Amino acid sequence: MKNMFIKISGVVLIVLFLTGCGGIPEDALRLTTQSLELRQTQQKEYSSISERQALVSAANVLQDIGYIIKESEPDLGFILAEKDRDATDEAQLAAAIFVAVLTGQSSAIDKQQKIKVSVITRKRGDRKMMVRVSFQRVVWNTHNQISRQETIKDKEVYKDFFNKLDKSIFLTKEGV
Amino acid sequence: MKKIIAIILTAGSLAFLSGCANSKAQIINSESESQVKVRAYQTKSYEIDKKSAVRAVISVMQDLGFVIDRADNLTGTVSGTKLDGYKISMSITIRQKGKESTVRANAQAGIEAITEPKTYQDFFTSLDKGIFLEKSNI
Repeated sequence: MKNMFIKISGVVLIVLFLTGCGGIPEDALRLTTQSLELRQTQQKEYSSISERQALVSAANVLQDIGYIIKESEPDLGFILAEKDRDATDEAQLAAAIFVAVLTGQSSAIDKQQKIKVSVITRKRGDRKMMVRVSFQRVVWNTHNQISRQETIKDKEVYKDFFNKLDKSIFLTKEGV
Repeated sequence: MKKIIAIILTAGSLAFLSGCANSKAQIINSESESQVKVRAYQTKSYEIDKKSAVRAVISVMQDLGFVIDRADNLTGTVSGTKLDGYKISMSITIRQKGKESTVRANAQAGIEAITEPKTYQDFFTSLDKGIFLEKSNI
């Protein structure tokens, strides 16, 4: 009994030391080479378009892909939108079933995710707009714990978004 | 001997836990450092108009990997979240005083306030570049 108590206290102390009360990397608020790369992935320039047209087009794309608009400030060219979706991963599910069959223990798998996206437009000279979009998501598992919180850096995701925005801008300009 | 080790470890754990948590004192932060000191490292002034400063702040926060959660030009407030295996929430207020704009930032990481002046210095160093770019309209 005493032995176990010592072990538990020791583990608690070590874990607390390791985690502190939540730590962040030293360069969290520093501009790095990754900042530049991220910027190139997240932004695209459009010509002969007004800021209003760019914002309306972006809001339409967000609705097209199922986001709920949460905030907007046209004066600053800003939109925030969110959606909640299923996060079940088939490979992860299969692995969990495998573990359950072998050990009789249920392990936590991803269940739900909240995806957040902000769009910012900026004037670039005459009738040119820079549109920058950032996606983020938080994933919860079947034990209701956060299993992942991340910025989406996958270039394909942004390429897809901008493809849709191209079409949307075309439609906005045509007045459709 | 084992008993002594147990006591030391338990006391250590308790001391550590109580260092992190002090639930009611957290509401008004009654145990924190002086207001003046906090303001000093959380504030910086720039020779730029308010709207350009707000735009520069948004742009720099995006470069740093934040998603902008709110932005209001009238009150000059911007807030955002950075997720990268950890979570940083930050809010910024921008006030114009004559020709200058004063930028005030405060942030939390997870469930803790960021009180490290160096972290704010890093932010303002990043913002210096953003303000420069905004002024030269790049």
